Amino acid sequence: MENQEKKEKNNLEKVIFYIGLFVLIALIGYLSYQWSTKEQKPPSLEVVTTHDPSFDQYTFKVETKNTGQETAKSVNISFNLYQDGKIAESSVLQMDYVPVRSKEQGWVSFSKKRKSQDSLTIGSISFIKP
Amino acid sequence: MATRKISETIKEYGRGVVGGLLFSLPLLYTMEVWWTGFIASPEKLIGFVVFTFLLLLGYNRHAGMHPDATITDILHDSVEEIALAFVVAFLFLLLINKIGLTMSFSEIAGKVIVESMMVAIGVSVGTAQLGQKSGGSGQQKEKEKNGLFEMIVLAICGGILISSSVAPTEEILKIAIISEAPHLIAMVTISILISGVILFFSDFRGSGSFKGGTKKMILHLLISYLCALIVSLLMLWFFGRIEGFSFEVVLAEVVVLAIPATLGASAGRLLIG
Repeated sequence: MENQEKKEKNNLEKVIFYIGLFVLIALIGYLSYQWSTKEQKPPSLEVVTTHDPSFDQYTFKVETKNTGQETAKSVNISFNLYQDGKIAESSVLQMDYVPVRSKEQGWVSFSKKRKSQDSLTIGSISFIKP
Repeated sequence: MATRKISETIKEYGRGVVGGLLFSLPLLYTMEVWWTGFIASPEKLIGFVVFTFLLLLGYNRHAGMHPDATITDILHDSVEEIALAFVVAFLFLLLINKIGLTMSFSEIAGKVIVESMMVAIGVSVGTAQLGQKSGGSGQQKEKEKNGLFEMIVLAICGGILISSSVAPTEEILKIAIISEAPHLIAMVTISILISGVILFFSDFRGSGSFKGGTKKMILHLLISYLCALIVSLLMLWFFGRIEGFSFEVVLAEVVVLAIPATLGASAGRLLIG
């Protein structure tokens, strides 16, 4: 540094130092806890759909939560819209990643008009391990 | 002993923050780095934190901030840099909406951990190099670098700084897959040639006059390239580009990434030392 003469640390430096120390200890502690409690469970995706009337088109909001112990990559969820007992339309929602204990939101829209007795079912869920 | 002025400290922290952003901004904008935050296992992240902290200690010891710095001073400075880096990374990720309240704590923590360790190296280099009278700016160091260990630490720091912006990307894998043996041999040759030109044949700032003879020159070149290979391998392992791939693909990836890593290990080492 510019001044060769050694000087004592001021209060700001002391505060920053203790913040840094806390951060380091907290990080190592948190990661150690994660490491010790980690189970080798694969990703487990829970999908919840609700009709979203705020869109002009017939649209459903999709919330995907990963309750497993590993991140799911390249997630593909297919949906079938049933009207009058038959599949009227299908759609696929793709997500790059759904991290552990995280929730991703998406929407699927259909060209069909809404009818009473409609139901939306999940056709398939696929993902890979990163 | 006099206490340092707070204004001096604020200026130093300003240089650190600018340095952290200057050297790490590409990584803060790289999606593969964000993803690594929640894909990397806890043990990998612990290793990364410990490795970065040791690197900071080594860099602060040898970058000439305070010639008479004690181990306590070096520890103190390294911890301060971690604190600054953590705050910068956290605020920046918040700014670009890559962390938010809808995310799980583990996702936020993972992203901030990975980014802040990268920023910490930039903070350390920025603090040391961006000052007006720092030893690295415009002054030729007359004394020869003392020792192999210092050379290795600076080469690793330089290699990480330059190669970290491309290491997490898929392009390294794509180039490695299509590269045949002649390409890889050419890459190795070019890497070593570039290193030689930088260290010995272009009057690069900080290179000084080399008085060691051919054998010592070859030794320096080999050490530089070896550091670049080690940096490449570690970075590829951390970003998940090693597991599941064959030895040939891994070797090719390491050679491909070693090109920017060698540039960093030689030019970076002279600039940040």
